[in-house]
Amino acid sequence: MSNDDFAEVSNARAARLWNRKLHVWLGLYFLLFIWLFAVSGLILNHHWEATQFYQTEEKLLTRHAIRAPAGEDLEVAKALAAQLQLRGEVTNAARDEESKALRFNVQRPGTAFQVTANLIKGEAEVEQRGPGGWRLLHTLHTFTGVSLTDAERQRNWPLTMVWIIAMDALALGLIVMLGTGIYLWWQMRSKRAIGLVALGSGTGLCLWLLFGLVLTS
Amino acid sequence: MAARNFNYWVRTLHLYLGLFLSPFILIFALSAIVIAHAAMPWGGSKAPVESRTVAFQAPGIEDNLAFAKEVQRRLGIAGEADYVGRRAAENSIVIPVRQPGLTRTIRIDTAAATATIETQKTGFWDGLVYLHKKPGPHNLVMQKNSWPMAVWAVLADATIALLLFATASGIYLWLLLRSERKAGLAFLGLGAVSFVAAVLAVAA
Repeated sequence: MSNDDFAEVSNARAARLWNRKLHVWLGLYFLLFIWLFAVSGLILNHHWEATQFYQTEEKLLTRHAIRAPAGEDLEVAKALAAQLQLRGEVTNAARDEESKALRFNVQRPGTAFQVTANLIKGEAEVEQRGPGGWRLLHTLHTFTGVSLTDAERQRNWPLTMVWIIAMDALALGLIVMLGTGIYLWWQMRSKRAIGLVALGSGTGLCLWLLFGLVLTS
Repeated sequence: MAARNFNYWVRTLHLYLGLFLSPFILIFALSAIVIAHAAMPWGGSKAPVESRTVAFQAPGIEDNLAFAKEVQRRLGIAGEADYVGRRAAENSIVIPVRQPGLTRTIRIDTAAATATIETQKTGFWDGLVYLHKKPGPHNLVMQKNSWPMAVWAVLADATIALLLFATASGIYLWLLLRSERKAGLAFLGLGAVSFVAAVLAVAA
């Protein structure tokens, strides 16, 4: 073997080694995140009685005096949430047509508050749901602060970004793990044929669902 | 010998099941980024809508699922009916029928005896998001009313089951790699700390 051949073999070994390290390290780093999203995904897709928290969870009702600031509904709602020391994303701020009360929600994973504020009388009623384990699992999976169906909704709680960064990191980490896994598989010549069948059948099913259904309808 | 055999099968299943799973994980990972940022690169609800109106007599069926399937059958529209929105005061019945990347909304005018079909090609990214969210926790009575979505529901469950298997077998295979134990433990610990810190930051 020439020096070039040795260098090539050495490079190939180093690439395999570092791909394996990255695959293992990312898998271990994201282990708890993967379990969380896998289990909460199952709970969202199935409706097992034990995980149905909404009808059975306790509601805590409290009343508070408030100082009502002036401004747009959402701005007033955010100011009131701060006054009431409610932490989370402030959403769905709207005036009740009849009573003119301002209603809004404050949500964070595991806990939700529904606020009805009478700005004229200077009092607010807060209905708290949670904290609860099932609610926490459920809402950690879906907590983004934004909505694809409501373009106007913007994140308004700084800590939401912590969870968004975690979600993004997990998604990118999984994609890198797929890449390193496929690289490691391709290096094993004896496993290529069956591996191609496995990868091909999964890819075929996904392509059929994404494109085949629309093309044939 | 038995241990070697066991290790071989764990490694083999981790590899082949992981390969089969790869495109499904990719669907969930890419769509998760779109959902988390509410940023559809193209398509979605902004896609243009084509509309056509035909003469149509609404069937006299009370059950919403049976009603939707009968309407779809008569109009020749395949797909998953999302819901049936009946507004008697407005003589209007609305049924959104969805497939990944395609939404057809049927609007029946019971007074005029017509059906308007609005077709919107919402595209690849919307298709990913649609699959990510199905079957989901809403409108249980109407779920999995088309066979492709029934197949997808099974595949979504299988993805989770295989993902859990991949993590469990991955941990086992890592423990066999003596050279990676220390570094692996460090990453496992770092991941656990990050996880607890992130959850506490948003939930506590």
